[in-house]
Amino acid sequence: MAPEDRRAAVEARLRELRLRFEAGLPGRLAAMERCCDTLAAAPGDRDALDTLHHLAHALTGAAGSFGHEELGSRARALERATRAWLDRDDPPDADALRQFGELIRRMQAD
Amino acid sequence: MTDSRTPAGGDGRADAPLQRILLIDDDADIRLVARLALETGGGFCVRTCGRGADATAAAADFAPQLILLDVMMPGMDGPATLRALRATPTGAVVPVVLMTAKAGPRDRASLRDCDAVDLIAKPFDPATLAERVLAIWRLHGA
Repeated sequence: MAPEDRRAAVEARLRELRLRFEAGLPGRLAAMERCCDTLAAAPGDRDALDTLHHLAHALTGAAGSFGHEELGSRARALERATRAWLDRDDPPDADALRQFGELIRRMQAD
Repeated sequence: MTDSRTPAGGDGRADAPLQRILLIDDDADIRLVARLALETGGGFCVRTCGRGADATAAAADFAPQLILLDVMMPGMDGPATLRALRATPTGAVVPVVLMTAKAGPRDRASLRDCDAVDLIAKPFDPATLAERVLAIWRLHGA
């Protein structure tokens, strides 16, 4: 198969996977929201912060590969923001939690 | 990030064409899209693995010629998985390519000690992933 034919075959199958990825997005973002809710109630919950970080990291990698660059860049911003707080000893403050929530809302709107 | 060793390639032939790739990534979407890109785009036989802890068993069973390994995974991360692979007969010499969203110069430098032959940045372009992997294989595996 010629290189251009192989690329076309990948693109055709990728369209199917992209639909599947998009169908799963609300669930991913809802899981992030739940982490934020947990952190709002208990900012020192490291498991919730770590989970939020991992969810953002996973979305960073997947979104761009499915052609959602804007979503991927917001996920990357959330990944970095949560990483910065994971590297600190103190829990995320109110401004940080607002930033997490705002990034998730923007991803939901993308 | 270079490695001058000769890979075993499963069948022991250093000049064997690339056929078997083991992909280790915790994200199901990444596994799906990378498998599609490598199988459809490159004609490779791909086995996937969602946890670093399962990688050594998968490698022993599948005898991959090349391993694509996600760096950041919960539990056993990429570097820890690579160390575990290197301690096994199959994984001792197989070329490993790290896949990471952290692919800046500083991150590349910090990954240099991981005993990997190259690094692929995430997100990757599915349309060109197979070509990229084949180019790495020609440099480090063939």
